[in-house]
Amino acid sequence: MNRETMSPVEARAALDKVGAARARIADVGLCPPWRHAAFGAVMSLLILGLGFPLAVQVACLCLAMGLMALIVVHDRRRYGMFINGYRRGATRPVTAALLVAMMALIVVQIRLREQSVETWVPIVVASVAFIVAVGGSVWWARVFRREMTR
Amino acid sequence: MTPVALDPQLHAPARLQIATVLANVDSAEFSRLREIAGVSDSVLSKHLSALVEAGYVRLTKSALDGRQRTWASFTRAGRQAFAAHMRALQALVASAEQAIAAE
Repeated sequence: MNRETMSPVEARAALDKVGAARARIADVGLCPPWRHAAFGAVMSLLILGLGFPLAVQVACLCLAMGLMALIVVHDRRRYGMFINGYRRGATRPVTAALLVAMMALIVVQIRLREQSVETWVPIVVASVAFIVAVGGSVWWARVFRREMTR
Repeated sequence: MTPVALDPQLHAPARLQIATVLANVDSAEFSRLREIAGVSDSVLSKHLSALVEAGYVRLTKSALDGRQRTWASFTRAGRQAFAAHMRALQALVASAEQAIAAE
């Protein structure tokens, strides 16, 4: 083997090395349940705030950003890597679907606030956001692991 | 032997493993890369330096748990080079499989 050529056997061996490295990366998709719940909490906090006056919106936004920062620090410490949810690959349609669902819930929350609904209504919308976000996070992690191990 | 457009910067097995990680994550920490590539600190440093020199990798330092750590990430050129290298490897394997099937 020189630097410009390689036999098919060597190429196969190189691809096996790539597969082994990808299998190690797949471990990142093995999130503990609380990690999915934390992501759900970030999304639901963002949507919860939108159902209330500005002061509550700002408080929810600050809480959500703080929690997001903790998630990033956790991921970097636990896995020694950081993976952007918007990465290219098989997970992108999952991210897009989650984004569309969240945008729809944002619109619903804002419309309901404009109609001055009772206090419990925005909480219900935020709860739906939590469930959707947790489901999306679990789905994303599964798709990521499948992509890394195929 | 079939000559293909392989990238000499990504040819070494350890370097290919480093590149695989960086192609799939935003950034990876030095010790994690060392663990996956199965090389020593000094060997990993050499590989990373070569990839930085080729314009494929960017290194940054940031504190985690009160310690300065080195994080590596791919540049756009690195991602493109890795994708091209992978295509070349897959083409080589595919051509061999076709030759076997034709026999």
